[in-house]
Amino acid sequence: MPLPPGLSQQDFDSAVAELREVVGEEWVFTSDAHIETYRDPYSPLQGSDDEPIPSAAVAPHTVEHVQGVLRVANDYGIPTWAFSTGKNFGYGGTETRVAGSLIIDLKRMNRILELNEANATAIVEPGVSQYELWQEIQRRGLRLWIDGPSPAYSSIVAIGLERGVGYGLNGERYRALSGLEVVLPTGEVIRTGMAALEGSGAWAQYPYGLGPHVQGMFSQSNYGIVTKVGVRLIPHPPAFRSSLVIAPNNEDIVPMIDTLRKLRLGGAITNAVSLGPHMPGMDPWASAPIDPPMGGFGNLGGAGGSGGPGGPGGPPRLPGWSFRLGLYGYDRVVEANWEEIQDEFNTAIPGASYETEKFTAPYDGQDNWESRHKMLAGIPSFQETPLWNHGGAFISMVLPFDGQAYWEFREVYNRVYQQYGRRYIGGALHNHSPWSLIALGAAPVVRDNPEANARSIEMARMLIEESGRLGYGEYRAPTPFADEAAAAYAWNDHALMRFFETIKDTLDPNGILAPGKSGIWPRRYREDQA
Amino acid sequence: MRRLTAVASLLILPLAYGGAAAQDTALELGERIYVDKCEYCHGDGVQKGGTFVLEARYQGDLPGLLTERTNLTPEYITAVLRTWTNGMAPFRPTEITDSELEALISYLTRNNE
Repeated sequence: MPLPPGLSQQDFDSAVAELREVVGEEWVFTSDAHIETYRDPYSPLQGSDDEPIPSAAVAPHTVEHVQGVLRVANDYGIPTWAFSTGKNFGYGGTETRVAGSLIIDLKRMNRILELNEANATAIVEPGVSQYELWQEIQRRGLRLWIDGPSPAYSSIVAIGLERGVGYGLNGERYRALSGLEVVLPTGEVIRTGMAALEGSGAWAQYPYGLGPHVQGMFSQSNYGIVTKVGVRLIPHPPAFRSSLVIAPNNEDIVPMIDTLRKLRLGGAITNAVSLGPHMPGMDPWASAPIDPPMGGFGNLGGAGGSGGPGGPGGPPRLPGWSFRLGLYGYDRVVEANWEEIQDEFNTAIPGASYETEKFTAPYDGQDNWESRHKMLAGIPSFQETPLWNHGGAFISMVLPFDGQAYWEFREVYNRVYQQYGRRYIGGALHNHSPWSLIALGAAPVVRDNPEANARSIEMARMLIEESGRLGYGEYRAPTPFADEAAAAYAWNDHALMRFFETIKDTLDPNGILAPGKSGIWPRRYREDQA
Repeated sequence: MRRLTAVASLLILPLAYGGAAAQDTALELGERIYVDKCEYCHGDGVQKGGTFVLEARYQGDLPGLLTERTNLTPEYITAVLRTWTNGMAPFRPTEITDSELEALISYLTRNNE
């Protein structure tokens, strides 16, 4: 395994010995077999000379351990890379930016400190997975849902900090977080929002407190290691209707987006909608994804790919679209909204169809629901868990919430895809909030084929560049493409990045925490690159 | 490529330990780990992605349910869990420790002949 940059073997051995004193002998990992588990299997860099293999991993159990680990990193100048559970598949997983980094694996920090049914909140550590939180809610018999996306063994905290999506009432995951405890790179511990008040009962309820709202500084950032978080949950509604809204034709996506916007902004639809290509007779969400993984996001043509609908040589007909719709609340209100929503889509999209089922509290049978109902309710599932024999990186752009804008964007993506022997048939479209739309594409990765992956990397960079020309940027960047993604946010000669760097250099003078995360490099790396 | 070859050769290695020789306590621990950390994907039912994928792969030649398998070897279980051998992302030692893995192996090889 590579050494941290600039460190001798002797210094590294001495740092590892100090780390063992901090967390205990058995929680520092240096063997090849253990380090193998810290590589991102789905990375476009996998197996290439550019893959940043870590030097070691350390697993703190307490805030004091985290402080101790950072002290060692500062003393020796070792770059670190912290993650909660490392299940951010398709966006980087556990992958670092600098070869020889020390991984800080927070999975052992998995305490549920508070669970409040009346206020529908929790306070948790970053290693708590959605599934573990769910198990505890079930064990205590609380009438709460979570709303996290798949995979269920991902961190409920990290999904929020990475500003990911859910599919139900709390789909804008960042907004489900309230009040952080953070260990700064120098080892100082702060709490934000109401958590900064001794004994506040409103930690997980009101995220702002007084003064600048700094919680956001610790999302998608390398400014600190988050060790406790307030999380907002969802009380069981009296009634819940789970539906699939289906449009038969590919071009129906334009009126589907525009009608959805009207209904989201008007308040009739309150869940975070995700639209996806729909094959007749097949619920795209009904089965676990099997190899190849990126069908909906861009079929691989030729060797290593499936062909398939829309692919070169495949059937000419492109799929229609569908999305999961959740309606929650009093039964009569749910039913009235459901009638109005069908009227709107029937008017906008000839041939629109629906699959629907209603549930009412208490939801005793919820464990046995189909996955799509679980995803809408906010019951952790493994529906979308990658079981990928290959891999991929999502290149996901924030667009104007407008049907025609998506249609034009799609042509741009498809033009780039075609240059690489693929066809973009439209990936998932996320609608975090009533005001926003995010379009997913992906750079497919072929296992043990660095040449194919090098072309995918080229393709991803071109997608980012072409989107940037249209004024579109990524909502989160796969780790290997963080620099390109950040570079697109270029207004006023990259003034925003200079601001990020000023904060970075102030909080992390030795540049030891996650250098390169979100394209933010500490001073010593910027000077090396200059 | 080198890794894949190594893993493939593990498939034909003889069973080294486990099965009937395992202690009851290790079996119990192994079962608990399976229920806590594997069953949500490798349990019985249509919602279980791991079982779904294995059924699709083996087409009835082998059970999709891991708990019904009689030919899993310790080396193979270790390889699948700790490396990206099939489609599943590796489990890290903070998720399943080396000693928990031993117990899990006892459980998954208990029916081996």
